[in-house]
Amino acid sequence: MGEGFSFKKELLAHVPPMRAFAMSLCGRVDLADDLVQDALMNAWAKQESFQAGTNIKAWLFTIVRNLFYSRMRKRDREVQDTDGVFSERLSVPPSQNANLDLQDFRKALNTLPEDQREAIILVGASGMTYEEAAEICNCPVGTIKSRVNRARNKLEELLMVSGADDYGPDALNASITQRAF
Amino acid sequence: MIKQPPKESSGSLDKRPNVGRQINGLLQAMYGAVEKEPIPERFLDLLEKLDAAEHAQSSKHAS
Repeated sequence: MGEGFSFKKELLAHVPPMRAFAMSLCGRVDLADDLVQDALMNAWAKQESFQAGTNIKAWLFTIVRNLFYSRMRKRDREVQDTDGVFSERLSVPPSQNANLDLQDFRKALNTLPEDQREAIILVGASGMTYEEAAEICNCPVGTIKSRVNRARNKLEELLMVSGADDYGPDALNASITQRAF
Repeated sequence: MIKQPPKESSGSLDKRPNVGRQINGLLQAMYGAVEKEPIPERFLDLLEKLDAAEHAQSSKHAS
């Protein structure tokens, strides 16, 4: 690795997205942070296998995901409550999205099969491309695309049922705003 | 690699563009709420320790 490349700085810069991804897998901040800690130590230990200039974010997400599935999956999903994913972080929604019903959305997200939820979070929220998501999940790109599509269709269906029955933005926002957080 | 913003490309989104946008917005709001939090102390400490341990080891090898 060349001069000027600080593995420590690289890891530090990727802690926020790693935490967000870990939260989406674990559903609880304490477990998510334990997972991130293990992933950072794991990444540090095998930093020689990382090639500078390649996609460190996808590499780190792969470590997070593999650790989660090999060690934490069973326990985490068992203890997850119905509000599950992200619940602790979202009691106060971001101001620009104050009119959106995050509670309902989170519940809808939790009804998705794990592989679909993971795919839509990677592609729809973390900013990963389909190709990067496929690399992280160790499956073909087509599989990721179909998981994302199925997840979107299911979420749309659930959001329609929960009140968003008009496609117009004003009607949609109004119907959602009337629902209590 | 340049990070691409998520694309609204699925067929179902074209039919129901507002709901599709709404889903993207909600996903990003959830994810972003965690991502925007400051880095917890424990990770700063951990990386400092890992880095310090490595430096200590390499200077031992050098002498």
